[in-house]
Order: sequence, then structure tokens, then C-alpha cells
Amino acid sequence: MEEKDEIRSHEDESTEGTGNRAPGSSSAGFDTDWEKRMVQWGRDLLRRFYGASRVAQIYDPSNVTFKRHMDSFYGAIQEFIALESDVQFRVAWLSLFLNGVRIKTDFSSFAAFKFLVDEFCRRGIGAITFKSGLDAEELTAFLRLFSLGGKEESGAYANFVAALQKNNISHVVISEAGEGGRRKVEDQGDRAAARSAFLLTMGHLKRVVARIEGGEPANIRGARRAVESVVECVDRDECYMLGLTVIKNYVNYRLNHSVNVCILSVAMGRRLGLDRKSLRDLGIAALFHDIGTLDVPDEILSKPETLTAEEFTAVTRHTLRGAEMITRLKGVSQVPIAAMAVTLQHHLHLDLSGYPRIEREYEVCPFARIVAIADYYDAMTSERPYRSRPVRPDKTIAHMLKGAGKQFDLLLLKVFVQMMGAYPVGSLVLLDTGELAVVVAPNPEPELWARPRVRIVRDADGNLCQKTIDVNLDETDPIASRPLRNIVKATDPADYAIDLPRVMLHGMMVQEVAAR
Amino acid sequence: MAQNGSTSGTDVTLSPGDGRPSPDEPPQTDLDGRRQETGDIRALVQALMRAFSSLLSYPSNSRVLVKQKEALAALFDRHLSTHDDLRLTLSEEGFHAEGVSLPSHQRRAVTLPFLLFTGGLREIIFHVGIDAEELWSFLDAVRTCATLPEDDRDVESLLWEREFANIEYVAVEELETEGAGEIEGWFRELELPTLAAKENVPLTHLDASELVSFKARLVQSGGVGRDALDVEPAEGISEFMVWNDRDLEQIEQITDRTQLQSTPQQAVDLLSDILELEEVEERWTDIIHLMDGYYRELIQRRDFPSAVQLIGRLRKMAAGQEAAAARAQTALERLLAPAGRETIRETLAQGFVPDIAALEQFLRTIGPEVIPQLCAALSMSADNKTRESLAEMVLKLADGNANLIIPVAKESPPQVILEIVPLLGRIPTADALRGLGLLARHSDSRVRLAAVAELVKRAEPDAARHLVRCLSDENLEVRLRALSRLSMLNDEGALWQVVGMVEHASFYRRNRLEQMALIEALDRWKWEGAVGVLTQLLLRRRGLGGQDYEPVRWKAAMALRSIGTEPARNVLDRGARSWRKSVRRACRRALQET
Repeated sequence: MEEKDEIRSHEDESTEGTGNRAPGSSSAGFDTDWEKRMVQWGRDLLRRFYGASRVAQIYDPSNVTFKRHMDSFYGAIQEFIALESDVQFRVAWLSLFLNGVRIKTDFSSFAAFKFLVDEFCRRGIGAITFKSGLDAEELTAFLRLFSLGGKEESGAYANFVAALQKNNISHVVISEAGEGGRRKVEDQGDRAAARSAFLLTMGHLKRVVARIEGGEPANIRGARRAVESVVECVDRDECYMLGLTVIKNYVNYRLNHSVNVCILSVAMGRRLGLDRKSLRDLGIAALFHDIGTLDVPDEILSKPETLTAEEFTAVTRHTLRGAEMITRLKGVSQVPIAAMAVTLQHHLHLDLSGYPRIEREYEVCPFARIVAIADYYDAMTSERPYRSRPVRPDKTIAHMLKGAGKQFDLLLLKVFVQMMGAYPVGSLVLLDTGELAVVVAPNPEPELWARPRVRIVRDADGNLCQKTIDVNLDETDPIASRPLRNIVKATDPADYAIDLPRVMLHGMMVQEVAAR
Repeated sequence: MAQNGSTSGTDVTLSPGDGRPSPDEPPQTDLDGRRQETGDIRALVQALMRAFSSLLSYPSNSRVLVKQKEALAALFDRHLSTHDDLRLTLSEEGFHAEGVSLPSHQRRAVTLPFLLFTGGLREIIFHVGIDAEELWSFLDAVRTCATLPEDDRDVESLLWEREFANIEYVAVEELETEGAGEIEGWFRELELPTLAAKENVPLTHLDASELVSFKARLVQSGGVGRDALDVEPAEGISEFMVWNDRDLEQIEQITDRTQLQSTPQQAVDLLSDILELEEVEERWTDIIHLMDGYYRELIQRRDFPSAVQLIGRLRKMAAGQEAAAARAQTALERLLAPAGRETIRETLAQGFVPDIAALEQFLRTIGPEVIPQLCAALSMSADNKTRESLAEMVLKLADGNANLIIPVAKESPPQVILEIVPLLGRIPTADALRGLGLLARHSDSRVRLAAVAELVKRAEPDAARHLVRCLSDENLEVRLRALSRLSMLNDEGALWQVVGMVEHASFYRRNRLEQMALIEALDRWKWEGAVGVLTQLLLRRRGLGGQDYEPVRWKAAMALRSIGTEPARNVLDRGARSWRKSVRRACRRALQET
């Protein structure tokens, strides 16, 4: 009871007299410049908060690296407090607010944003306020507490409050999350929604394709709605959505591939900080990018042998035909114009090699550059009639790096590689423990690319795991101070009878075995 | 929110009742509280709907809107400070909240609940924390929806784009009607290729040996972990995992450019690219057809700069040496054909054009071929400013060449010609005058009158020739106007014509005004040769009214006086002594005025 009262008093303090505004609260004297500045500061502060928290997970407070990050964060907070009296981070509806101003994530602050939102949700924290009077020692103590891992549990918030009190931290005030901040990090409801979005998108695409094939005008309203769901799902659980792209349907390649490209493109766009409307337009463009292949005979598309010159020309024409088809979906002004551009340009390389052949100065639009990357990756990692086995994700990334700046936009490729990781989601990796694991999420810190989150699928003896075991490869042995597991190499799932999509979708291998 | 026990869960339409308590009703205090609450919600919803109506009617900077925005936010604030949220359900009739129906009494098809309901929304929840900006953004999204053609309305999407922090909505799922069976079908289609699941699979020889080698290297490195081994799955991948400031700048540029991707200008470029790149001849017709459709759409949306861009791009392509030149020429011909120009006419006829400068540039791109459509639009446009601008544009396009306008007049209906006549009047060339002369003989008297109105402003001798012809027009007003002008000119042709008209017996059947005008003309000309006809008129026995004072006779006397020659004066002197009172009075009066 006492604890509850304390929490309440903290909550009261956190909103009283600080000049803070609750998310979306009345903005008397609204100042756009001020808001822009807040967003900039917010991103900067967010990055420092994130950096200091991550470092606090690994290093002791006496460590130089820790001190450097700590000083940077403390300095930024002091600077901000001088201007705004208090610094409040609040999470509501998976959005982050700094003193009432929503901090939209951009690619540079993405990892920090995700980390903080997840940490808030995991602990049931609604807001953290750094109050005037905070000193470096107190902040260090707070960061140490905040950086402690642990599973999500119902009493996480109360435990955290108790820990703050125990450590006499009085200038960092937290308040409990309302309904909007209570998302679990791995919410099964979100995952069901993600699967549903995946299937619905495929369904809508299928319907549009059927209408086009029947020579009828197609309405893309349903597809638009489905892509909106994809955008939301990527926003909620990017890793899981990326995991869904591991599904490669050999029979219905075109539909499956299009949806995968849609997800990958939206995820990239999100990391770039595109707004919702742009993300939707990008998603639709990606979904329809290969629509022109409807005009290419199936015999050519599924021909295992090398194509003749004529057949190849027929294939290359799908970009032009696709762009034309897009305009016929419902009139030029009714479809995202970006979809036309993407369909036309997604095989046109940055250096204007590729097709269609353009021999004058020409600029490939940003969405087409994004989709080109997603398209290439998904196509290479898929089984095709002309390829005995799909190319492994890590090898595909390696191929793509060779085309950086020529075939692919270098910076966008950077975004993609950081999003997927050096061992992309869905890669089967051999660990130095002799275990085999599937990568389920890249490390949020790009520099720790060799330490993703993995799901162990076979133990060191080659036995299928009986339950889902997910581990972070950046976990260290507390005594030896070195990582518990290392990746030796990526390997081929076909060699080990691993059904990747099912591992990604359902996790527990034992159910799959029983089902067969 | 408290609910009345007897009405809980059922909708109650708010209407003034008779006020008598029923035996089942709860105590009066509860009822009062409930009435107060339902009254508050009703006021809130009505304010919301009113604000929406205003948003449709007033410009965004209107004071009315500013006031309503503040008032609405205050109402929401008050309500949400005591209730955490406001939950409104939607039906065809209107909003419902807490068992209370709030029907929309507005008869318009674009009411707020109607647009939301037909857009698939079934429930909206406004959460505490909502502010004026967010509320307004919500209404503005629905307003945007209302401005779109019915087929293109997608209110759910528009709301989704705004990403509201404190507004939630429940919408009908697009796929609900498809039935679960279809979704199941998709699941089945997703059946994946099965792999023979084996309980135990040892490492392949290669993997096993790499594992051994890795472990050995790890030990050699002091066991600090993989990171020290410099093992990269892809060469140079580490460089891809770090950002530098320049990257950040460039990424920002890329994201900025994404905003330009969905512009009509981009669509124009893409359509042109498609035409340029398509090598299969059979496809060209289709692409040109598509282009034509989009070109017309641009005009209808009054997006003239994009239309200019499209024409310009095709012209450039047509002027090139490439194989695409011929198809670009065909496309140009198609776009600039009368059918395309008709779209311009239809669009301009609808009225107000916000960007006249852009329109002018566009019309110049097409050239004078568009003059007929412009003239037609001119005749139909209700907006004066647009009409003035269109007239100016016709003149600019014609560039002093009346022959570009005259054929339009020949082929157009009278209402269009009426717009063309003043334009011809403003072209100071013989061709324009000839055109006016032609129009002065048009079958429609309104056109003849307009042409005469322009002819009378012209100083060229030929103008008088056309006006003389108008003296025999069947329309009195045309004749009078022509006569009025001719009387000011010293034109011999006109003089003989007038003398002939006065001399002729038909003169006495003419309207009195015209009779007077004819004689006034003779008066002005002061031509000696008219003495005879005037004398004849002065002494005429019948046909001039038969009163003591006869204006026509008096006018004739005045004209003789104006001529002032001896024969003329003799006539007046003799007349002043005439035994006929009317002649005598007319002549004496004329002489007295001398």
C-alpha cells in the first residue's frame, strides 16, 4: 500500500509543474519550430540514453567507455533541463514522447527507439522523468538498474520502483503505463495479426491478379487496407514480420514473393523514417512490382534451362507492361504513382545497367531503389525452377554488397543490411557449441552484427529441440566475461532437415515433428 | 458513464417526453443526472457535426472555424475530464452513444456520420488527451474524403494516414464478407514443401571440420570471442554496419525525394518513359490512349502545369531523331485533337480557374487551335474574372490575326458568337472589320446588334459601309444604332440611303423614334440635296399624327433651318404663313429658334 502511494506521488510529481504535456494534450501556444527542435533534441537524447543503457549492460561504471557514454547522456540531460526544467520520456500506443512531443523514429534513432519502447513495455513503465537536481551518481545508479535484463512479469513495474527507492534515486521519477503502453514485447496477439496481415495481403493481391487476368478493372482498396495492416505489423514487431518472409511458396511464387518484397520494403522504409502514407505507398508499389509478369508466359517464367534471347526479352518487358497495368488498375490518379515508377524501374540499376534499357540521363526513384534491394534478396533466397537450391541469405547479402553503388543504392543497402543483419533473419547458423540455430532477430546494435538473437533448433548432438529456446548471442558468461556462444558459420537448412518457415512461424520443432 | 437501468443496452432517441415518471423509473436524481449527461453528449456530437459542416463551407483560415475549433476542443476537454473516453457507434441514421441515439437531421449526403458509416466505420473512440489539433485533423480527414468522387472515397485510409494518438476507430474488415473459407484456402495454398523430418542429423563433414577449426582459433585468440577472429560472412560487411554524418545527410535527401514520387509530374514522366521505351508497336495505341486519358484528367483537375509538362515532353520526343519520335507525334496529334480540346472547353466552362497564369501557359503550349474551345468556354463560364482572362487569352493566342477567330464565329452558335464579337472589335485590322461586317448580317438579331455595337466604334470608312447596310436591317435597334453612328459621319452612301428611306412611303409606317432619328441625321448632315425630301415631309398632309404639334414635321423644319440655304429658308418662310396650322407652327418654331 505504501509502495502504491509512493508510486502515485511519483506520478503526480511527474506531471505537476513541469510544463510537460501529455501525449496529444492541448498545445496552447503551439510552436512548430519549437516542436521541430524538440524532435531533434529528442532523437539526440534518445540515442545517448540508448548508448548509455547498452554500455551499462556490458561494462562496469568504472570502465572508460561507460564513463564516456554516461557523461554524454548526463550532459545532454542537464542541457535539456536548463531549457525545459524536466525531461520526460513517455511511451503511449507504441509512440515515444519527449515532454509531450512525439518523437517520430528515423533510421538513425531506430535502434534506440525500439530499445526504449521495448524496455518501457517490458517493465510496464509509462513515463520516466529526469528531474532538476539529478546528479551524475544518481543517473549512473539508475542506468545500472535500467540496464538489468530480466523477463517480462506482472510485477516488473513494482519491482523497478522498489529498486529505485532502495537506491535512493529520487530525481528520476517513473509512472506506470496505461493501457496504451502495455504491449508485451512478444505479443501473441500481434503475431496472429502479423500472420493475418501476411495472408490477407496475399489474398488481396491474388484477387487483383485474377481480375487483371480476366481483363477486368481491379480495385486496389482491399490491397491498400492489407498493406496498411502490414505497415502496422512491421511497426509492432519488425523481426517477426521479417521472419514471415522466410516463407517461400514454390507453387505460388509470384504472390508469395510480392508479399515478401512488400514486407521487406516497408520495413526498410520504416527504418528510413518515412511517414505512414509513404510507407503505405511504398508497400503497395512493392506488392505490385512484378505485376507485369502476368504478361509473360508461365513456360518462360518456370523454364529451368537458360532462356533464349527472345525469351529473355519477353521477361524484361514485364517492367514496362507492369507499369502500364498499374495505371489500368483504376486510372493513373487513383493508384500511387510511385507504384508505376517502381514497377518500371525495379530492374534498372543505379548505373542504368539492367532493364529497361535507358540511354540518357535518368534517375531511379527512391522507392524503386528500395524495392530493387528487397526484390533481389527475396528472389535469390527463394527456390526457383532454374536454381536447384535457394541461395543462403548470408551469401545473398554478400552478393549484394558487391553491387553496392552500382546495382544498388549504397546507403539503402546499408539500411537493408543493418535491418537484416550479417546473418539475416531466417539464416541457419552453426554455433561453436555445436548447436544449430535459426536467426530470429538481428542484434539491435548494428556493430554487434555477429551476435543476433537465435532460436536453437538442433542440439550439439544433432537432435531436434523439443521446445523453443531463443538466445541472444551477446549474452556473456558473467565469470569468464566472454560470450556464451559464437557463430561459426551460416549453413544450409536443407542439409539438416530444418523447415525454416515453420521454425519462424511456430517456433517449437517438436510439434512439427509430431504433425508429420 | 452511468446508465439508466431501464434503458441500459437499448437506444433511446433523445426527444422531449411528456415528463411523467413511470412506476419503473429510477429516482429523480438519477434521471436528472442521466439527462444532464445525455444532454452533454448530444451537445458534443452536435458541435462535432456542426464543425464538420463549417469545415466544408468555410475557407480554412476563416474566423468561424477558429472559434468552432476552440469551442469543440473545450467541449471535449470538459467531457473527457470526467469520463476517460467518448465512445460513439455509427449507424446509417447517425451517431449513438451510451444507449442514446443522436440522429443526423442534416439532409445533406455528406454529413459526418454518413461519410464515416459508408466508409466502413462502426465505432469511434475519443480518448482523454485529445486536443484541438487532433480533433481538427480528424474532421479534416473526413472533409478530404467528402471532396473526392464517391468511388474514390476511402475514409478509413485517410484516417489511418493521420496516425491519431487519441482517436481509435473500429471499421468493417474488408475481408469479412469473403467468408472464412477463402482465408482457409489461402492457408492451404501456403502449404510448404515438406522435408523429411529426421529426429537426429549429425553435422556435415564440412561443417564439423569448420567447427573444429573455429574452436582451435578461438582458443589461440585467448578465448575472447568470435569478434576478435575477423570472420566476416560477407567481405566488408562491417563497413555497412556503421553510419557516418555524410550518410545521414544523404539518407535525409533520399527520404525527402520520396515525397516527390507521387506527384502528377512524376506520372507524366513515367507515361512518357513508357511510350519512349516500349518497342512493341501493338502496345503504342494502348499507351497513347492511356496518356490521352491522363491528359484529360489533368485538365479536368485544372493541373495545367502537368499538362504543359506532358505536351512539352512529347514535343521534345517528337523532335528527336529516335524511333520514339513518330509515336510521340501520334500521341501529340491525339492529345491535341478536337476531342482533347473539348475537355479543355468543358473544364473551363465549369467556372473559376485558380491559376490563370498556368492556364495561359498551357494554352500557349497548344496554340491557336484551342481558340474555338476557349470561345465556347467563355460563353459558358459564370465567373467574371475567368471570363475576362479567357477573353484575353483568345486575343493573345490569335495575336492580331482575326482570321483565326472568324471561322470559329461562323461555326458557332449565337451565344458563343456573342463572346467573339467584342474580341473581333478589339482587333484593329481590316480582317476583323470584315468579320464584324459579316456578323452584322447574321441571322440572329442579338449577334447583329453586337456586331453593330462594335462597328460603330470603328473609324474606318469600311465600317460605315457595313453600317449603311444595317439601315435596312429588320431589327429596329440595329437600324437605330447604325443610324446614330452614321449621322455622325459624313458618308455619302449613308446620306443617299437615308434620303431614300425618308422619301419612301414606308417612312410613314416606321416607328416614331426611327422617323425622328432619320430626320435628325439629315439635320446633322446639313446637306442641301435633302431640301426636297424635307420640304415634302414638312408639307405632308397625312401620316404625321394629325396633331397641332407634330414632332416629325417640326424635326423636318429644324433640319431645313440647319441646312440654312436660301431655298431652305424660303420653304420655312412660306410654311410660316401656311393656312395649315401644323405646318405653320412647325415652321414658325424653327424660325424662332434661329
